[in-house]
Amino acid sequence: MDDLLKDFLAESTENLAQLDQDVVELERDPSNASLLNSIFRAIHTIKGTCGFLGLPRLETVSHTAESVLERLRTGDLKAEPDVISDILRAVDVIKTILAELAANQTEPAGDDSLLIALLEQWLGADAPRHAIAIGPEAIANATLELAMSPDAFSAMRSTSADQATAAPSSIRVSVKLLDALMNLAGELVLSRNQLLEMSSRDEDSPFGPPVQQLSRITAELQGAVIKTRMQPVGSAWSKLPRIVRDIARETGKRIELDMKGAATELDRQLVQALQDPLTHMVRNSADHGIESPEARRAAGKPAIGKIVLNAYHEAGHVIVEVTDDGKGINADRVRRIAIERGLVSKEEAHAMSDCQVLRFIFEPGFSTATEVTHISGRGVGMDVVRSNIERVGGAVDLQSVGGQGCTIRVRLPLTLAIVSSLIVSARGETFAFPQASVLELIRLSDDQLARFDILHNVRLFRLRDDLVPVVTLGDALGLPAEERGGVATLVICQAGAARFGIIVDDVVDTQEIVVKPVGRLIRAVGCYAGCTILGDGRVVMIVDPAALAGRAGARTNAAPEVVETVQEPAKNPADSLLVFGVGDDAVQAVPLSSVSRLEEISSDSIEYAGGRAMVQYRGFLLPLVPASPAVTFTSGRSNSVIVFNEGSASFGIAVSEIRDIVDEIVNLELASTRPGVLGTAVIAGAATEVLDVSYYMERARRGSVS
Amino acid sequence: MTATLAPAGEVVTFRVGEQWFGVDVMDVQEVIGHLRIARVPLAGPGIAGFLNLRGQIVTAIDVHQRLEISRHASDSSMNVVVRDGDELFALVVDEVGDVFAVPPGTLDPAPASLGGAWARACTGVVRMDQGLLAVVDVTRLLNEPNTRP
Repeated sequence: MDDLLKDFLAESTENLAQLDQDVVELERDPSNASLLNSIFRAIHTIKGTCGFLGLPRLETVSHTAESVLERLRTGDLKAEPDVISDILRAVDVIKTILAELAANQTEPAGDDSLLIALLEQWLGADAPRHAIAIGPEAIANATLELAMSPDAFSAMRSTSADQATAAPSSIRVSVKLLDALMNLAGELVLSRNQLLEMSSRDEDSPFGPPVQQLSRITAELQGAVIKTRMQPVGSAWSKLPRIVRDIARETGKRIELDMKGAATELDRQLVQALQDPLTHMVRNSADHGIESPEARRAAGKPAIGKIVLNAYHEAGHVIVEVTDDGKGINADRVRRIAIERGLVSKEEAHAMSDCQVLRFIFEPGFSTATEVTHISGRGVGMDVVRSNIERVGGAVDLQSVGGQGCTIRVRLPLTLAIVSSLIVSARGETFAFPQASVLELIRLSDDQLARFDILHNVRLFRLRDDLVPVVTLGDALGLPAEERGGVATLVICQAGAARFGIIVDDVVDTQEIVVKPVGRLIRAVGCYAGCTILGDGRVVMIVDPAALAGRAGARTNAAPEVVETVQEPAKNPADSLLVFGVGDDAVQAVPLSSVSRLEEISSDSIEYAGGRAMVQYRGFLLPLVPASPAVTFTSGRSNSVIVFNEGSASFGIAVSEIRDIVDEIVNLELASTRPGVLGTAVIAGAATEVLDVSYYMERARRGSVS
Repeated sequence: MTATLAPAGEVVTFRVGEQWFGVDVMDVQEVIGHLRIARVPLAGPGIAGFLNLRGQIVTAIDVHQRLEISRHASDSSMNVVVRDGDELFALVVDEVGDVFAVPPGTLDPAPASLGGAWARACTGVVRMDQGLLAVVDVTRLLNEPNTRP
């Protein structure tokens, strides 16, 4: 049997079992929107897929049933027993057809016009009750005609047996059994460890070699058992090429599907949870995202559209991205629809960034498609994507640039996944870091440990050209401090765009570990991505570096983040200077104590009013003054801005780059004649102009730029 | 507060400090001896850490701390492994006693004068020759509000 058909049957049979119950439940509880949504989705999935498989009868029935459900969903129709009966009839017909399909692999011939007529009466504008006179007899006859052929039933039962003979290289095993195996393997490891310890006491023990052997086999067994739960993410992709191809053919588009990272392994439950959402996403990309070859050429793009699937591990998560180079999603249109549908007030919608607005796509029933096609466009899909992903603890996000395409990023937790980890120690305790988030390790001497740059309470490490905020693992976790001299290791971590360092006492090992979820009482702590059991049976917490750094107050140097440099009661604040470039190799400095924050601000977010540059910042307008005429706001680039606060007023000085923070006693050697400059001093070996902050403050207030 | 027990009316008894407690036998999976507990930094009060029960991670609850009972250096520790929902917890206690069948009608409501953690966790008391047996509800004991940092 065709794999696609087989999957379809397995999936549909599962859905239908629930469907009967749901429809009946709906009759009892007609106002239950989530129930209605779930029924709608089940039918929608069947309809969507049978289009590809060439099952016109099934498609017509499910399409009509779906249309009735749509009216129920919008509230045009009430879930009264009569409607419910007709929907149940449609479900019965769908079941019958599916059973025949399983038996003969072809759709049975049959006439559904009566059923369609029954359903369509609910679609009329004012839905006259039973406008078509259908006697109970006629319905009975119709049902009779639908009765299954005897061999369809037995075929339904033997489908699984069929599969077994077709694919003898794999068998179905219950997850419960796999879990039991996993636990047993764990127990075996513990017993092995005891034996190892006993035999190591006596070097001449005759048990030595066999125990070594046992140890090796145990380790392999444990590894193999762990792997039984893992699947390459590619197994959730297998039906996508066909789906894309069919959509392309049907719509006259040319689409290329590129799949990267198919071998990325994750827990089978996650692979399963990913399957439906992926199908929906790819279908959406192919149907709505990619334009026709003509439209693409007109837009100056290659005629062949491209959809890229990419899976990889990042910062202890599995990321699956679906990217297309189609027309993207028009944020303004989404905004308008969101307002029309009452999801958000007009004012709120306009205050939201495009990125936030695009998230409405994930609301149930939200669709920007102007027409309903049988492939997609009814607004189911993205909400299914989100709810399926969130059910397994993942997150989904969407980025789109109008005209350039759309990227949907699914982030799945590493729970249950095997990850490489760095085993570290801090104050006598052992912890694991997901290696994916570790960039590099730096050994710190005692001397270096004592010599971090400090802004307020944040310690900064000079990593080549970068200043990286640093926290100490032991402090961040509240472990009692202990005196220890000598070296430590700085673990430089990356989470998203943010980079930061975490100081640990020692790096012990690297290990492949199985991540286990932490119990609900510990989850509230928030710094842990899970826990794991080491080879010797010890339970070790897996640190979530980003959460830890956030908790410890290390601000990261990511673009939207802020390096807070709140005024610090240092002994001699004037001695700390922030040094920055102002273009043309000129260097200037300001006393760090006067600086409120450092920001990266995109040129595109800079607005001009009355010749003054300003940017919306934390809910107010921040005037920007370039530090010199050489500092310009080039579109598409981000600018370093030093933010100053004086009383309730704030302003920003735009500079070309932040260079360094230096501690130096400043001797103004040349008094300046230039306004805005206090004088020139030698700072870090270079002639540096020291800015007069109050001059710029006045400038910003008056508004003349330059 | 009405005292309820499973129909069988049996409790697993354990001692913490000087006090004997009982938990519904249906909530108890097993009793194990001392196991190494991995401390979890920043975990709330009353959480001793994690222990490895044959490859399964179990959250260990420090009953002394949870019920504000002072600890003596001589106390040895045992674990009563209980199930709440689909998660396992280990109650770290000083000593585990017998399974005791509470005779019908002998379970008195918890005294109204109990305060704090006791009032929340204790569902009833049984008068015994040696003293009072405090019957505690596992779910309430685990979900003491002070467990959340």
